[in-house]
Amino acid sequence: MISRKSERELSYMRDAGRIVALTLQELEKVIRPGVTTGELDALAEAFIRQQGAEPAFKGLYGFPASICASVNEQVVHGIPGPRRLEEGDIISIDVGTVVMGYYGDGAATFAVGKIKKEAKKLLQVTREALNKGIRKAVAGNRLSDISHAVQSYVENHGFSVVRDFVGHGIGAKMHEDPQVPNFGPPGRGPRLETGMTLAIEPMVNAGTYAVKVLRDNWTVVTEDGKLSAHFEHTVAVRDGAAEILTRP
Amino acid sequence: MSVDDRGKPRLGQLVSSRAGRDRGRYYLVYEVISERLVRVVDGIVRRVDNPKEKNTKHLSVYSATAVGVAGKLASGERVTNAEIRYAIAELTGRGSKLHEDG
Repeated sequence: MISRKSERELSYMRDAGRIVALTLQELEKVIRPGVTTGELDALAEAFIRQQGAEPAFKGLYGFPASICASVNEQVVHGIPGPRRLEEGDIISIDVGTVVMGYYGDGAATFAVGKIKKEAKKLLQVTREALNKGIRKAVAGNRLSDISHAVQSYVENHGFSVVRDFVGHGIGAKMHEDPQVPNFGPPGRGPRLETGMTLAIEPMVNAGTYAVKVLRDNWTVVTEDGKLSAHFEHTVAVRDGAAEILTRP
Repeated sequence: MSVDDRGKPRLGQLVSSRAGRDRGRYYLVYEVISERLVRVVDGIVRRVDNPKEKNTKHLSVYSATAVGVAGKLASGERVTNAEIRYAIAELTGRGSKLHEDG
């Protein structure tokens, strides 16, 4: 069942989302060669708690940290640790928070120092694909209009969208109905109604869309070892235009 | 944090039977009825006018998908038995042999 949130629920989700966005801003300031992903995680957790929220990922399905840190060919769900970022890396940071029992979920991929042109293009296309998807998250559209907008933009630029992992409904739980795939034909699935809240998150690969999961049972990597980028916003469906909840 | 959607059959995806008298036979997913139940075709014994219903528990689901077939099925276009047979041969690595046999 897809729940529609009341204004009060949305106000909690706006708080949670704002803290997600602020956390990403804080992390962007310190991302540079030499920093470890574990240090980023510690910083994020402290910041989230200082803002009066709880880190949502810690312990969720057994995930051991407050952020997912996925470097280069890692797509999503990378576990923070001793890995040091190097010049030319790209790193996707995924952050989740809880405020008054309501969740916010957002992600962005950052450049570490100077990155190659192809990597820069991958980041731009993924960020814009997210925007294209969000523009379809309006009342009256069908769910797969979002999926189709993301896929066609990405594939027109020569990249591929991951199939095995998808976006999701969000609210009183991190993962609610419906699933929000980043691929598929338009005009399918449930009709969007105002008050539905979705985490839209294109995962875009430079090469093939095939992915595999490493032996830690979390880290998702591209099968061909090529780069992958990931951007995510939590949005509320509205008439006319979606409201982005994960903004500062 | 994204949702893991692996292991659930999708249109055009390669599967093989794990249980039943058709055990070991390869199929493509022709229709997804629910998370538990799908209709599958192989273009030979089970043709598109008579797909076989299978419980997903009784299928091995592979990561390989017949992309062309999946696209057609998703948009409601007709897929021929020949296309199904060809796609399964390609995905199971029997494609070259198929060509040799003409």
